[in-house]
Amino acid sequence: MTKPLSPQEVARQIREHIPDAVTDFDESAVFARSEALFQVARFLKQNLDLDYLASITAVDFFEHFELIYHLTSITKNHSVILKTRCEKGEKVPSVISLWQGADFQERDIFDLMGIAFVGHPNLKRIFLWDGFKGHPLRKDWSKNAAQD
Amino acid sequence: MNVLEQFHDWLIDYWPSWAAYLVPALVAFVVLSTFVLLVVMAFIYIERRGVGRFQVRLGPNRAGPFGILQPVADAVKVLTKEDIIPAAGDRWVHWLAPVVAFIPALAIFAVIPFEERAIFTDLNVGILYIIAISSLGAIGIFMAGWGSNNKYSLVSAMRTMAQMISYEIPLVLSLAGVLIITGSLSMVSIVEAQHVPFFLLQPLGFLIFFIAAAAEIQRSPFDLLEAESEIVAGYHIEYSGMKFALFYLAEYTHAFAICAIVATLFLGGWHGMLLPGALWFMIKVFLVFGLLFWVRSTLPRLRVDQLMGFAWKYLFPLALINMFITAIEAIIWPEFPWQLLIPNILIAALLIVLWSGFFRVAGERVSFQRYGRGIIKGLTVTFSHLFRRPITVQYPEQRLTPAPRFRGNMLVWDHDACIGCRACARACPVSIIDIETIRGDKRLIVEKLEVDFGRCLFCGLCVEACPVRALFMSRDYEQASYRREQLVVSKEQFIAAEKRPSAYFYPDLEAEMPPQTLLAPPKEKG
Amino acid sequence: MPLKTEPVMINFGPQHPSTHGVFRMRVTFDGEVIVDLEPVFGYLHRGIEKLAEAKTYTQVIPYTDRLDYLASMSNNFAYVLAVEKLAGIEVPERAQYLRVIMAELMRIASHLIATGAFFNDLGAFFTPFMYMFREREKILDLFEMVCGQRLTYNYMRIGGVSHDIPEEFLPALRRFIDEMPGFIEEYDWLLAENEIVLARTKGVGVLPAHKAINASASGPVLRASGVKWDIRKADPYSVYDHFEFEIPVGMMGDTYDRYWVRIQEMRQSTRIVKQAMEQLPSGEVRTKVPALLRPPKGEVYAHIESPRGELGFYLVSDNSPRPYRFKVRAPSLINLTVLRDLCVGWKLADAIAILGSIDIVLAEVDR
Repeated sequence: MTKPLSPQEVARQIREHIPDAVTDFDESAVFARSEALFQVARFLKQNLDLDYLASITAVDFFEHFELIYHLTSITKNHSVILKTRCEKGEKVPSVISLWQGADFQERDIFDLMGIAFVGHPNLKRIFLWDGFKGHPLRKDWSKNAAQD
Repeated sequence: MNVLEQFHDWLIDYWPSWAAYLVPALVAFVVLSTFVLLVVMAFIYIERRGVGRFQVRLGPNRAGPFGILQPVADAVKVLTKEDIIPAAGDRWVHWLAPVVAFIPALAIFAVIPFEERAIFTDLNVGILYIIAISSLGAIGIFMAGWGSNNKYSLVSAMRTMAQMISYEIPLVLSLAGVLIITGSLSMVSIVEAQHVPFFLLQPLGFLIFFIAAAAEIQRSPFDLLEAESEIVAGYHIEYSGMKFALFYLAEYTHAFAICAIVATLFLGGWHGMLLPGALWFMIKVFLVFGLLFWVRSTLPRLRVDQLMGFAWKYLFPLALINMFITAIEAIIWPEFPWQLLIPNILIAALLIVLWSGFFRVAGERVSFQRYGRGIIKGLTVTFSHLFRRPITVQYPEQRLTPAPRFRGNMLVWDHDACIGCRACARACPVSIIDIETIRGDKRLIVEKLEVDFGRCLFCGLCVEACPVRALFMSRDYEQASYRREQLVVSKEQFIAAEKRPSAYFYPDLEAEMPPQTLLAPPKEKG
Repeated sequence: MPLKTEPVMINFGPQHPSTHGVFRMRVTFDGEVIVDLEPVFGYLHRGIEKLAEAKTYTQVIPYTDRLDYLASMSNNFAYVLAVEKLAGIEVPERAQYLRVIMAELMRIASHLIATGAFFNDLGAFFTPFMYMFREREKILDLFEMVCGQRLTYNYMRIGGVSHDIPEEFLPALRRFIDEMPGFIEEYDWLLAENEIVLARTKGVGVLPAHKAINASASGPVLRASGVKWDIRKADPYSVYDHFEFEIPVGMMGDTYDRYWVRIQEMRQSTRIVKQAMEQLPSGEVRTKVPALLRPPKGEVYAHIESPRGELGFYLVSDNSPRPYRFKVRAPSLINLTVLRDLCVGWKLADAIAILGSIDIVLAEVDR
């Protein structure tokens, strides 16, 4: 079974190396500040052998966005869920230099949710065409509002 | 003294000499062209049916009895199509290309001996003429690729030139063995020299010629010029109508010509017992063609650099060695007794195996060490499928029965059982059920029911949601209309429809359903 | 003096016989050698993630069918696993075994298409395609027997499966499983040692293991590179831990290995189905679940090994009958990350072969 590592333990380890990056943890995930996201991710990849990025998801909670990173270690068969919150319009560091698999997923989130990733070499819309206005997966998006 | 010369000698008593020269030529040209085109149509038909049988299906069988008129249908279709010329291409080159591709293929037939005297003209340089003329077809293809103003065509044209040039040399060299044995270039004398068919005396030459000829006429596995899955029809991508038909005809005419040449040079031409010589000739031609499309239906195509590597590094040296060995044999045993076929076959097998060990494809790791064994295994699998029953269903004469639980189109609505609870409308993922009810004396009466089957997913959730068995999926799967509005079914149409419910979600109905037609039915006992 | 050449950009447009759907590649060539490749998709984007936020949890199941329509059962399976994990619903054992049987049959059918289409791209003129479709027809007949549809099944429900199998299913399944290994042997005879296939695929498009892991590749693409990672063994779900089967792993990560891994997986799937048939318990096939299911507030990520890779669903619930967020982790989309790196340096024909070996379904890529 893929063992989900205890978030408390993981948060403790991260806090030892990167002091104020972790804001919170609950029973399944570790929360990090969005500015420190890249350092936390790099720490997780290098020190906890989390070499496989299973998925990146973005959820729109009206006042903020939440980005969820599902990380797995193929060598050790354990997993960690890393989350971060960001405001609308805030840019988040890209993890593409750590895991190339983030390439299309970050473009997908940029296209449909509108979260920009700093450091992504090709941050263009991926599903919708280039002139499309608006980000449809947001909760406050309506088809009529985007017709301009 | 062939037939034409006899005709000329008879005519010269009645008509001036220029007429007696011209008329037989014209008559023979018309007869020959018609015959060639008819055989080409037969080739097209046989190939499509044959490839179909190799692929465990029937070929086309609707146009005429057994589909015999299919090539006619193709011809009519192609004649009535609009002729599109690319606006930015080179107009004259584009227009001339199909002609330049077709005429050389037809011109080869001037020296093909259908029988000892049934030959247009027995040039004493027959083979040389054939080789010279057939390479002109490549120019037509290149013109097509260039004049179409399309990158795909250009890529294809470049590949064509590379392929044609590469395969000319093994083609010619493999003939050298035959010519050494015969001592003459004339087609008739080659056939007469075959007391034992040359494919036995020259097995290596036969194989190399067959492969190189398949490459010359761009047939699979060398058909990357029109590799449909890569460059979408290649050089004839911008052609439509009769010009496309000319390319198609050119390909098959050239194939017929190659089969005829192989039959003449290696299989003994018109020699044979009992049946007339011309008939034997045609039988041999069709056998070679069968071999061609058997190979076509089995093998994937080679990449262009592998193709050229194969020609230059494998076929060319083997053809040279074959020529030397034949020359040595010609010096020692000039009359070539039939016993020579045994050492020849052994030498051929040895050479193929040995040379495959040296062969590396374009710097990559694979080598043809298996000397064709894998290809032969593939060919046997395809051949075994000839004898299996095809799985084609002749729809609409033959209709299969769907499963008892089939989720077909058009719901079946039981008007009396429905209580108007709208559970089905709530359950539908695409919200296609539109119900309006009014209060009756005991229960709700459905006043309006409209279901838009143009958007239905056939998921069955409405049937599962109904609490009173008022809704069923149906057994039918054919539904078509010319207007989308007709797919919206109203309450009256539901009541008036013929009710053929399926047993989806209602297992008690399953017993009375006809059994499903399976592709792998249970075998009957006994 | 060297000859001046210019790179040319060819557009393998959305309509193309070999791009497995409406997929577009802008390829820059220098002669026949690929210099750059840019995949462009989104031609089949239907907004399923947004649509699902307006449907109840049960109504989303037909939508998941249409994500990867060549492996609908697997999509259903992953989704209902996610909802059951979120809502804490127990599934009866017979339903779990039936789900595994359907999922493995679906894996065989999907690999048949993938391999058939792959050889079509190589130029084998439909012959392997027709043979493999013949076997797929038999599988589709079995599915029709169970749930009434041949392509988009809507068979699994939250809490089990929608119907129990009819009595003619098991004998028909046994007939199919008994003759399937013979047919796989036939495909091997036709193709596995064919010199032309070897020349076209051996050593072409090599994906090293570390790169595959870094690019989040999954499924046969990852396993062909030598990484022994299969979610059925690494993180077993449903009753997969009751079965004995192996994970085929390639050696080099080239196109031939990706094809070989799929053929071996078909063999292993037949093994699993055979064991599942023997171990099939009796009992219920569906737990009672309220029609308007309201899972407690929370989120869940459930993943399965679909024929194309790791298919995951991320669901966020806010205790209403409709999902708050529904996200699909599509394996085909993420496997495409490596397409550019695999194709650069090879030739035009190889790009088509490599794309065919990655085995994408555009409906899943574009959602």
